[in-house]
Amino acid sequence: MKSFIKHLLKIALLAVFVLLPSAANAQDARLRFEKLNGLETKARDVVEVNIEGKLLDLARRVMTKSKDADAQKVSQAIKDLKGIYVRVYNFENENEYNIGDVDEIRNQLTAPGWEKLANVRSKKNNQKVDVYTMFTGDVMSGLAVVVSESKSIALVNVIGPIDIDLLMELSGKMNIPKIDIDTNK
Amino acid sequence: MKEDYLWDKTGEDAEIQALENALMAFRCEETAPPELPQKVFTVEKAEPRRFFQRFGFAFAAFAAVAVIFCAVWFQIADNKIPVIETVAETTAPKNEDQVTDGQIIKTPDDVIAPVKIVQTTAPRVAAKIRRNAVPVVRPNKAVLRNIKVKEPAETLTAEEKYAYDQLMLALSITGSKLKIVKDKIDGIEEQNAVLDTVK
Repeated sequence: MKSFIKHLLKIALLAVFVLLPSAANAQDARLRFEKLNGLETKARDVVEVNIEGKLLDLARRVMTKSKDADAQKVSQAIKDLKGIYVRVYNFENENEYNIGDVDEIRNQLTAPGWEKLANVRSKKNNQKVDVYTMFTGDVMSGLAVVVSESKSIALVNVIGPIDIDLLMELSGKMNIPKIDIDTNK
Repeated sequence: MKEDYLWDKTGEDAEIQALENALMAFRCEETAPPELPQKVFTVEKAEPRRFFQRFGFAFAAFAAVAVIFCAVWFQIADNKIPVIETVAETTAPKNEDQVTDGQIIKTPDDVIAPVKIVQTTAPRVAAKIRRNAVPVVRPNKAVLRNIKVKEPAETLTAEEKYAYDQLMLALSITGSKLKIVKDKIDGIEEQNAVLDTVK
């Protein structure tokens, strides 16, 4: 009996060691935006979206209800998604925010697991764009987009797999609410 | 005691006679008839007013109702009574938004607007009703041809709509930001290609 319990404990320990890294990876894909909380009062426009858990399930259910082909594609693209966190701050004037706060978020992306997908630097408007992805095996477990310009900051953190190409393709096609986000500077 | 004296005054009865003598002052004169009083009051027996007691309140109530009815009738005749006409400007709340062909039909506002109450006077309309007339409905064929039967739309709850909007917003921002990156990279690649051809 004692030997059986010992074997059981060994198996449990092994399972913990095997499963822990993947769980940790899933956790690590989440960026912390707390540093930017103070910008809400300074910014002209603020967009804050946190969609996860039951809210995400609800939205997914709405997507699946729809008979539209594009909606079905989006539904497929977000099938295994765990959460999306978005922060957009648009300022009236230049340099109204501390660039160090954004760099702190960029530093989070230097943690193991994150891989740089794209990196754009432009002197025009001090534009800095970083796209990072995190993979667990062959499956994408996280996506991070950090865009900072002289008058705006945009941060996107996606947890779970998402089809980036499909998302770009469908952007603007769906009944997506139009928001004031500057794209061309 | 001999009772004949008491019965028909025959014989003697000292005790009765003593009593008679004692009460002689009150004896009536048998020769003169008793005088009637000078004035005779005749009291007529009053009939109980049962009819008034029974129907008095009913009559009063009827009279009051009749007065009120007449007053209202004359007021209506003079078009003085206001008629409340409600003009509802409400929009469907969130949970009544609809999904048709995959597109969410959004209501103009999420907030229910207040109901506007307009007071107008109701004109008196006299209508003749012919009781025996059977209404005949003749459908306008030209109009019917143009009407397309709309499929029953699926309704979303407020929570579902909120979740959908949030997801769409998040995906929109994500897509637009990724597109910026893609356009930048494509632009740089094109520039490099042009430079290569020039060289």
